[in-house]
Amino acid sequence: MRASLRRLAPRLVALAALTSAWLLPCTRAAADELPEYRLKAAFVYNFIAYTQWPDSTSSTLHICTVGEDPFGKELDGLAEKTISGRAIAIQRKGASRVLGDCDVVYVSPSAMRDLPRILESIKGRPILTIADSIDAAKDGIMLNMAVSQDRVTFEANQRAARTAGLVLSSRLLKLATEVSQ
Amino acid sequence: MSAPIGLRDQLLRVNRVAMWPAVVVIFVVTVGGSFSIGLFELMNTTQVQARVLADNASAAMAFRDEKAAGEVLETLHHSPQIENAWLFLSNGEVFGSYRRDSAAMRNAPMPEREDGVQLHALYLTQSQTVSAPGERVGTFQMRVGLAGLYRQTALVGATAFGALLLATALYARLLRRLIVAALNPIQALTDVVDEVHSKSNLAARASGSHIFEIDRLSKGFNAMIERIDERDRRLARLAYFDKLTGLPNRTAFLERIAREVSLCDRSGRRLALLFMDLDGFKQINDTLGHDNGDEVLAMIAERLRRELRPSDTAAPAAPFELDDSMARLGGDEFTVLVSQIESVQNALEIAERLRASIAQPFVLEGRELAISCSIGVAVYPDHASDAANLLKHADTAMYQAKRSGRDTTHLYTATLTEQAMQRLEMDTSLRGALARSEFSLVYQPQIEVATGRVRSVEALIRWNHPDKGMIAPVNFIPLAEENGMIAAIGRWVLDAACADLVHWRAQGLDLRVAVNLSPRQIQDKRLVEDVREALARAGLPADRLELEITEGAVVDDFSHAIATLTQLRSSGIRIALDDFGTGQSSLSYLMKLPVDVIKVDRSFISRLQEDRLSRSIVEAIMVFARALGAGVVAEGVETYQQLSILQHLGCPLIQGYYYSKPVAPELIPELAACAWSAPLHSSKAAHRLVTQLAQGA
Repeated sequence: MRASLRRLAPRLVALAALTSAWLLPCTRAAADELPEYRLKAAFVYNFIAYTQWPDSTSSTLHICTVGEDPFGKELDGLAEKTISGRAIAIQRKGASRVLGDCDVVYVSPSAMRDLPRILESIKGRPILTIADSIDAAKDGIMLNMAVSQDRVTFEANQRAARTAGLVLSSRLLKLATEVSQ
Repeated sequence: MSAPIGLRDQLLRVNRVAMWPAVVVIFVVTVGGSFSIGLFELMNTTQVQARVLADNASAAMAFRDEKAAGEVLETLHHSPQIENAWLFLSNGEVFGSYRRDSAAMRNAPMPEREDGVQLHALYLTQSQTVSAPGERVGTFQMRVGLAGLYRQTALVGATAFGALLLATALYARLLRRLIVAALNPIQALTDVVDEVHSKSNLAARASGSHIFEIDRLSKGFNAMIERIDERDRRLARLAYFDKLTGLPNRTAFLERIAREVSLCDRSGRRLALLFMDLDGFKQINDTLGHDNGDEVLAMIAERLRRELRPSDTAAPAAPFELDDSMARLGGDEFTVLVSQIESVQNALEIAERLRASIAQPFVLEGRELAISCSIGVAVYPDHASDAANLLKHADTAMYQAKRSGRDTTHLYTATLTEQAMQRLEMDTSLRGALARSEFSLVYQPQIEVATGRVRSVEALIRWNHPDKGMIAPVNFIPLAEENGMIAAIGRWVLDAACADLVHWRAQGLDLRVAVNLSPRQIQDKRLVEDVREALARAGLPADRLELEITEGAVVDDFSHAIATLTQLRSSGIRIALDDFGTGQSSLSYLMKLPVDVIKVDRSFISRLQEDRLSRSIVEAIMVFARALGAGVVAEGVETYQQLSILQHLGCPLIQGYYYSKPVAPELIPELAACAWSAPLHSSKAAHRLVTQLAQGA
């Protein structure tokens, strides 16, 4: 995990220079020139889009980050969007483990050590869990992103999602590099 | 105008012309409709495909999964008409593209902003927004070739064309058959019309038809033909028969002659034509009235019928149709055709028998009436070479029978025709004679025995014919009476005589001029007027003119003649009765005539010397004249002896060659200047002669 961070380090530097451009859809910048977390933020958004909650009556969808937030401002951009008529709110929980009011929980690489406890705290609740650490899907994360050949990919843990009462769209599953049942 | 075309062809032509627009419309609608439907379906299909694809590709695009997008695009190869397809990201970047193997390499177009289809000649483009559940992620656009649609349309067009061609051919064939069937009754009707028209077959009838109009036409046509037929028959009856006698008329008879002539040509036998004309029938009409005249004609027809009835006829034995062997040609002319005779003699025998039959007295209103007739006979082929000539020659022969004293039968001879020709020639030249000034007058003086002076001259007309020389009145006056020239000639004579008289009077000669009137002139209603005008023009006193008439001239219409003569006489004109003693009139009849002078006929004068009776007659005439208060002139005195006897009998005026033949007007003054000797006063020999004759008688 460290290694991958190291590998991404030069890009993160470049990303800082280009933060202002990220929300402009018409920007003619090439995909692989986009900063990794901008892409990952978009993935998060799409994950939400292809996921069905058993009860989605509340007007706001809460995205919580656990641990050190690697997105920076990229994730804040989502807060300006809506999805299926629901507003998006970002809550950075840091070290807090009170996740009951979250709809989506992103577990940052820095909080991976604490993953079993985090999962335990939200067990049985319809909360979509997202991470971008190696083998996170095996450990119970529903959607785990990775970077492969300059592309962002993801694996899905359908069993975990089903246990939580969430339905992942088949289209989403079709794009996953690996789906564990 | 071009020749008329048949109804069938016209109907076929009309149908052909009327059919083509329909065929074209069907073709256009079929092809156009096929194309439209094809295009519509294609657009629908394309739209659905685009939606499905956009939907399928949405997740791939949302997650920027080009590989997955490529797989989705590859599914397009199931639709052969899709040539190219592109997926554009929202920023316009090409995310994925698809090219059919057969399609050309194409650069990606600019993505359309709007969803929908854009139609081009050879292809269409379909744009479709690609939306992930959250938001729009890009645009799908594809290019669909229309070649397939065109091919399909062309196939439909070719099929429609073939089908229409086949349908038209079948239609035309069926139509022709139906039209021919429908026109059959009209064709039949036309044939009947032709039959009636070209062959004059009025027996032809059109048959009925199951087509209402044609049936009406046929029935109407039949009715029309029947009426025409009936009318023709009626007209034929009218045209071929004489109403009065019931005999065939001239038209029917001419046809009959023509038929008989051709029969004779085959049988080699003879055909006689008897041409009968009643003698003096005009008088019967005039005296008994036209109704009685008609009755006489009917009785004559009946008598001819009876005489010619085959059962009553002993000879010739050859039978012939009674009804059209006889005919009334008009007026009092009857004709009889005797066919199949052996010789000319047979024909003459029949003619004589007919004449004898007519000669039997007729009883009309209780009175007996004797009628004679003249018959001319001509025989085919002896006297004529055809029907027309046969009739003409029989007519000529009849005319000759009339001229030779009526009540006789005359057989045609070729010379008759020559005479007729001469008469015709004469007739023609006579008609122009006045205009050519071919007439002249000569005058014969009448000498008063007592004084030896010329008291009067008789004007005598001469015709100086350019070819025949001088022609005497007896040779042309009858002709002039026949052709009506007599009236004009009479007026000319009057004027010329008056003019000469005026001339003489200017030379101091107090003469009277005598002018002859023909019977026709006396009947002329304008005579009195003409005479008075002539005198007025010449400025002559009326008593200087003497008009000579014969008794024959007044018998035709006695009362009118008397009236005319009385009128003339009342204006001072003297009337002389010419040729006295030769007529058949009774004395009582003659006594009624208003006459100033009686001219003793030359026939009595010429026999004075040898015939005591003639002398007595002349004496009697003078007594008669004296009783009437009329003067006497002896005509045709040629010898001294005649003159002496007349002088002895006390005849006051003498005319004749003894003194002078008729001379030209220029010589009259010279003759008038002479004092002619009175022989009896100076010659004892003459006196003796007269006494001798008186004793001898």
